[in-house]
Amino acid sequence: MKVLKTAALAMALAMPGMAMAATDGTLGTTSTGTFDVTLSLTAPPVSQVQVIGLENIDLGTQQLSGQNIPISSGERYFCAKRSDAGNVTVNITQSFNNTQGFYLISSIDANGDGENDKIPLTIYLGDIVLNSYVLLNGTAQAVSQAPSSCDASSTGLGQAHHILLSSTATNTDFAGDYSGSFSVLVAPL
Amino acid sequence: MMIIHRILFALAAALSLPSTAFAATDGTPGATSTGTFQATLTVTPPTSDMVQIIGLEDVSFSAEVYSPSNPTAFPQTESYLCLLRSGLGNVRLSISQPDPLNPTGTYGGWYLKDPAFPSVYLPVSIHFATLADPSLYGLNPNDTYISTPSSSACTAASGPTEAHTIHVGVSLVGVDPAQTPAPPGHYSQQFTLLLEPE
Repeated sequence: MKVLKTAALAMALAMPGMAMAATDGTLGTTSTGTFDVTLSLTAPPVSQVQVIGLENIDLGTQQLSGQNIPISSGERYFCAKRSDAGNVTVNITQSFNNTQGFYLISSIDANGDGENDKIPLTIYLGDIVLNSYVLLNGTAQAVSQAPSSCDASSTGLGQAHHILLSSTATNTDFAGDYSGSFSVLVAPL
Repeated sequence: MMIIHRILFALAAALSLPSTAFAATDGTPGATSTGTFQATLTVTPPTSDMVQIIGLEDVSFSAEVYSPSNPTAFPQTESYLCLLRSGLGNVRLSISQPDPLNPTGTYGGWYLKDPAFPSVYLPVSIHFATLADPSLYGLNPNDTYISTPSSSACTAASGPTEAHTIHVGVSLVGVDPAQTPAPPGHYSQQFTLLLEPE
């Protein structure tokens, strides 16, 4: 008995990866049997995210006057999706002088201050449940993920996220063609 | 080798076409995902402000007969006109007539004439006022009247709450020859008002 037990133990120690069959006890005043319990733990799956449905936004043509002219893009929809449950973060960045603001930048320097003219821009992020956030350049904002049904054609509350661009043409601005390039980074929260 | 050529071609294209708008891009699925978009805005210069005079009326004085008991009668009329500007800022008004006299004493230089009496000049006074500034401002040749515009709601039918007030007066004695009672006749003149943004 002892020899058999020792042999079984040696086998278990020598081949730790090998599953041992359960053993019955032999008939006797006591009887001992064995069984193994095994558990395999694996690393959690990496969440997959994706941003789709982004479009270039043309704010049109605004003619300067003696008054401030509000400019709005209206809601522009996109999907910030995630493969598993959980929220996401949306981080919009614009590489311009490392400021926290967003700008539309002219192709010319009409005011002669040494840098191309610019008009401040506000970017609002709306999630699928009507929350709206004012974004800072390079600062991530947590929002709920878009529904799995969200695609490039999705619009509306509950179907997709949206961004809205807002600006003002003032009587101190200069005529010109203004533009801005923005990156939208989505990550799991 | 082929991959390098493709990259160089794309880079050259980007450098040679700096004003080309790039299409928005979706992100690819991954631990993070990055998409891009562009925003554009065209700003055009303002048009010059537009101005307009509305509500001018001819002024007609009833027949007046010079009376020795009232030698300095100076009938006046009061009417309304709109001095409008499309944008912010004041307006500047000036008046002209053919061959004005030089202002002398109390006479500003405007006059009525009857061709039948070429030597007789009847002095005319022209004043402006607004509800906000009711003091009469007289305009002579080479003067300008600077004022805030009339209310944007001003029309040809508006009164003093929205319009400017114009006062026109005429003397019954001539300025030239001085103090000579004007003989009965038909005296007239055309005045031109010029309104500009100030």
